[in-house]
Amino acid sequence: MDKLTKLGILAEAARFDAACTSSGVTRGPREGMVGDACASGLCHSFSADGRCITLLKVLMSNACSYDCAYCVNRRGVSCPRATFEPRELAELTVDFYKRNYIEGLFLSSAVLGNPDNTTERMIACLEALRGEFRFNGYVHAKVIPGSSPELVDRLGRLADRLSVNLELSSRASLASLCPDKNARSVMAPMAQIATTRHAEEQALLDSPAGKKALARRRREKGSHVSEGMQVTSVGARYTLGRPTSAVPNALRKFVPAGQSTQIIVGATPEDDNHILQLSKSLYDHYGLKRIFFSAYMPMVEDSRLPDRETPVPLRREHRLYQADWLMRYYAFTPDELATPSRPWLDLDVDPKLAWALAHMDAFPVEVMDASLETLLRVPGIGPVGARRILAARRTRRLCVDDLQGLGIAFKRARYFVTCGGKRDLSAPLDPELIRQKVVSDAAGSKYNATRRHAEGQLSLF
Amino acid sequence: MRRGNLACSSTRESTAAGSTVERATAEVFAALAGGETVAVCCERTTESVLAAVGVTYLAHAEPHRVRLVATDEAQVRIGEKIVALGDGDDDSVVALAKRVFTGFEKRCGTICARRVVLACASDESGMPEIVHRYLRLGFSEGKRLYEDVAAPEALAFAKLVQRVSSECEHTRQFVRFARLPDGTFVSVFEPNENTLPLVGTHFARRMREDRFVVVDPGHLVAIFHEPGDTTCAVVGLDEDTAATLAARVDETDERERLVQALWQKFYRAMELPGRGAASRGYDLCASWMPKRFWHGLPELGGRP
Repeated sequence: MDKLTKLGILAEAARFDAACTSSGVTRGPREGMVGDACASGLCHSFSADGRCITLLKVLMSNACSYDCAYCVNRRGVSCPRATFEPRELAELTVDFYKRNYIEGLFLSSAVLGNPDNTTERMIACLEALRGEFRFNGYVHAKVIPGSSPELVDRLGRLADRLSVNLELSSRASLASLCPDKNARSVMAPMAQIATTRHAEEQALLDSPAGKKALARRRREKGSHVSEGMQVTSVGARYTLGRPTSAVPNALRKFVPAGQSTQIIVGATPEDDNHILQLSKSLYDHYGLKRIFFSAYMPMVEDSRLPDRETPVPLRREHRLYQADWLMRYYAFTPDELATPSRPWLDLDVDPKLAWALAHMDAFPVEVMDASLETLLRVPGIGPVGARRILAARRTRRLCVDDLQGLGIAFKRARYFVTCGGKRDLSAPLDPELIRQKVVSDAAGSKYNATRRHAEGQLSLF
Repeated sequence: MRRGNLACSSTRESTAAGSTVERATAEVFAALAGGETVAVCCERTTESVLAAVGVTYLAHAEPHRVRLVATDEAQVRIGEKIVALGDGDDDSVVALAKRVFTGFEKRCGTICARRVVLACASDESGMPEIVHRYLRLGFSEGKRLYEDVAAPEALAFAKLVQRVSSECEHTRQFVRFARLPDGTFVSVFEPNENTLPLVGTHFARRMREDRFVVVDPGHLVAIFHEPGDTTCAVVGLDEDTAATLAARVDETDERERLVQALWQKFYRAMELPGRGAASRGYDLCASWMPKRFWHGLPELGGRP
């Protein structure tokens, strides 16, 4: 089979993985080597459906021994099968990298025989990439559930990020749809990665390089540089309520960019509250950097799964990402966003607005004296906007026009703030009226008008 | 208004600054003394804009009686005198620009100074005057400038910085190299702002061991990199040289065409059903990847 055909098969088989980020680690160029890595990541292209393409995302092989019901590569499916030679894939990665097509490699695989055999093949590819081809760029590798701890450790020293896909959000669903996997085989590598990273962090903190980096970090935290970043940079740098690593990722040798996972949404009956509770637990216990939600795409016929005509739950996926963001950067808890008694996220309005409408007693907020935490609870004010308000109000008394200039989405925030004691008198106070106004504004937006024009009717869910 | 570092030591050093600056300063001074307002014409380069700001300080111009204007958009107003500073190749211009930059950095901090460099790369109409007002605000406020994000001068300036930063990101994302048979990587890229000088280091870090060139025929600028170098050389081009360099991307061989075919295959394989523009409601691909870049993206069938 020629390389072109093989790449087509193995890229198409890998496209269902939502993760395609190159973020989390900064690594400078090294003499005689190809590439570097940047913590903020970089998207080089966007697929026709709008998802970013940052990495060469392919499977090592799609010849799978497992029979997971939702998977297009399951052993019972009739489809063309292919397997990359380790060196062949390494060479392709460098070819793409040097043309500025990608930031690195995202390597996953179907289970080729057994998990250890598959992982060894992936390791061979990464060894060729890092050794023979001297590649210093970003690598994300998928851990095959059931791989032995020694191989996971070797893989983690070649890759920047590892991910173990949870895929299904309950033991019952896993047992029902994935007869060859069990919860332990998925959770064990996740725990191993967290433990090894923690041990490495402790060792680094005691080393001279770690102490030096820590001192530098403390100095920068209190300096003008750090203060400055708060008002101009992206909000993603600023987390509330989540511990950050004490040592720079660049010093780490094992999985420097941390680990992530993916959960399929819409294939099984678990509600949003369950998924958010699970996400919180994974962040807390395993220090995950990201959880990706993948809206289930009915590609295979199976009585245990939704009908093939079921639309892809894109809006639910979107709301879950928004809720996840609120938990990571705004210190919301899962129960604030989707309660056990109302376990589904509102599809009409975003989770932050839904929370604000349910807690009108907490508003309006006065922007001239509200704390950072309080400002972050206001719809339309994000991490950067909130910090800009804090900085700007030290030097001048703010008015509504100033807020718009600072990048606040005032159209959304106006129901919930006062500025110098004044509020927007045209904004209703009743939560139901606000909701109607927001939903009607959204329905008349260019987004929805274009969608109706494109499809003739709404079919997002 | 308090005077900044630059204004305090201005006149007695103006002679040392050299002829172009001295002539421009004298012209501004004379026009102001004659009751006119002044527009100082500068090129769209960091050096020229900063030197023009320096000239307004050296001439002790009151801010409301002087403005900066780019040479390509200068239009004289009633009662206004145009003073042309000339380009940044003049030693005195570069020396004064350095002095303004150093003074501003010392007074307002490194981050604000870096943002000035970004803003000066903007093609936006009125850029020199926006930068001028921001620098004056900075020399007046000092370190407080960074926090005064709601000042009108800072808001207008922030928009310029945002535009250039965004275009720098587009440059890092959408430059596509083609490998020539001699091993050189070549790319042609036409950004809306003059971003190539700002992103040269990024590509030098990525491709430390390779020889490459990126050409911007719009701004007549190219960056060149030799194996092992930590930075790129930024070179201004004439139109013929830019066209000659740009034409080299077509000199690819069979192997290069195979790599491009593989990339196209990979790109097409990434598309998922049920998530396209019709289902989503709008073309997310086009909104992330502006159509003005498509002709240079091999994955979209354009020229590499």
